[in-house]
Amino acid sequence: MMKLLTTTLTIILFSFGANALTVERLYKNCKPYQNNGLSFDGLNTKQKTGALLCATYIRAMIDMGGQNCVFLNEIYKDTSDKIAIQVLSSFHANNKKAPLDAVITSFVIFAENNTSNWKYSPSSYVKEFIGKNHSCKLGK
Amino acid sequence: MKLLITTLTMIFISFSTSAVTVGDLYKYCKPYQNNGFEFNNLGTVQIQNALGCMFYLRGMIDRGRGNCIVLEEMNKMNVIDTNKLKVFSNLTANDKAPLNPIITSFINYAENNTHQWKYSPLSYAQDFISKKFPCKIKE
Repeated sequence: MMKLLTTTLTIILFSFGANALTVERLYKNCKPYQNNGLSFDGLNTKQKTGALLCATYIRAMIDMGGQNCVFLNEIYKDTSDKIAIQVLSSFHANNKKAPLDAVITSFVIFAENNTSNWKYSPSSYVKEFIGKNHSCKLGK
Repeated sequence: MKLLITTLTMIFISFSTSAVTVGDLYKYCKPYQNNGFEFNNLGTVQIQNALGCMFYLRGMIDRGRGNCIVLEEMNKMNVIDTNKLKVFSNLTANDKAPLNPIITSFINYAENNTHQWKYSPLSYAQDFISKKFPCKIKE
């Protein structure tokens, strides 16, 4: 059991430690989990570990965007560059309450519709799969 | 197998509800760092916790790097004052950063700021990520 887990981890983490994840790698970790109704039941060990990677990584992206929304709202109150902050917000920030399962599904759909972007980092497309549906509301 | 599922479920609950605190993340990360960033000799629960630590911090680093790229582009387009961009950069962005030094940086930060353990690590990303690997906005 432990050996299987360690082997699985080695495979999953092979390119994970030093470099950013790619859209492709994240997709391959998220897809079995999403296909399984965002449930662990019935997934094998490799798929479960992949699901943990998928959910935790995307959770961090949502949380960072939510925190950025708080920062940008503070700046927005006192700036004359409101349009610039709005543009920045669309890339940098999102609603901190974006539900994880919905964002995982958005990411999977984005990846399937944009295979030409698979070699790049998912962080380059957070606007598409998080911010678009769960935008940061400024001035509230 | 039952232990693995129980552990994964516990980690999922804490991550899926946005309830990750500095204290939680510290407890996930510390055994892995203490073990020289190796999985050998860690128990199943510690391995799962280590993964939670790694994936969460990697997500934070990557999103911060993505933010840096946006800020660099906005700086080139000159659509917003550079000094303001630098403030945004300090708060929300970072350069590319290797994972293990960031895990260590986070652990050092957590150990030196135990009064912040009940808050989100995101509130302190500038201290343990951006300060070490800043997003450089050129004048």
